Amino acid sequence: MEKKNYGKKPREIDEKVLIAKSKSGDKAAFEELVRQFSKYVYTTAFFILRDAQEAEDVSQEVFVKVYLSIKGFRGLSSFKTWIRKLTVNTCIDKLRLRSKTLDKKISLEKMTEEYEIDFTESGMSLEKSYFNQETVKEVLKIIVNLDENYRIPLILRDLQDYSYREIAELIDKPIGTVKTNIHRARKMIKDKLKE
Amino acid sequence: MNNVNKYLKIARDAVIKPPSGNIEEKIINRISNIDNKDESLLDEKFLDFFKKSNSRLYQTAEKIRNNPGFFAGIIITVIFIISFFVLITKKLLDEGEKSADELKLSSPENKTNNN
Repeated sequence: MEKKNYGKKPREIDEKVLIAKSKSGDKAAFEELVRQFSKYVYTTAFFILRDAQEAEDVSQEVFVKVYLSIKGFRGLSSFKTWIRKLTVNTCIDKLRLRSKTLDKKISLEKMTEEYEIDFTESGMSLEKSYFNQETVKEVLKIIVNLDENYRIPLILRDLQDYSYREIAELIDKPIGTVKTNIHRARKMIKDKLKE
Repeated sequence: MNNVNKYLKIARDAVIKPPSGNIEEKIINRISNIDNKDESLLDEKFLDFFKKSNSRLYQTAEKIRNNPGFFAGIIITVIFIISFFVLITKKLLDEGEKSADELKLSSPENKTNNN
């Protein structure tokens, strides 16, 4: 008898089917997962690394890791959560490596010219009106230009749903510092929006 | 600050368009060309992450560590409910015993014995 999936969103059902098929070696199903999540992975990597080329490299690396290990994925968390954590971990490793080997200051002017922001939700609710989207784009541009000490905790907390404790562990900073930096970052955004 | 929080919430739906074109096709091409060298990407750090993400015990522990107040609240509520039921049951049993004793005392057999 066919299993009913009452109360589940079509995307959720698709995702589970795609994962199951990918686990059994269906390459087309995995490619569909790539289509569904690649922009999300790229965006996450871009906001953390502030470098388009590195964000692309990380996106490829993340999907190679997923492809090689998906057979063992038990699905205790959603695929999106899993891939998000994998992306963030990979990006933090890159940042650590970058701080050891390279000059981490990237030209901010160049940055603003290089990327274009879009929205995944096509349905325009009142809250997501044109004006709001324009302001959000402005907010994201402010975030991208924040110092790393403020940018990373803010992105992890407000865009990626990490807890303060998880952020503190990930970036090796005391939880108090993380909370203060996030608060300051939000205040900086507020002040810059007023200007 | 409320407005900032609102915009940050909407920002979760934002995606960046890669400047160099179609990222999906690049990833798919990359996957089509996976070789043995790529196995090295599954390093110790990744395997540790993978093991943790597949462990129900670890996931539960993380949930508790992320929301200690919430779980403490649940435990306190459960203890309170259990204590309440234990108390009620004890009271009902005591009352039951008491009324049984009273019934014994007021039974005709007892009355004739007393007489």
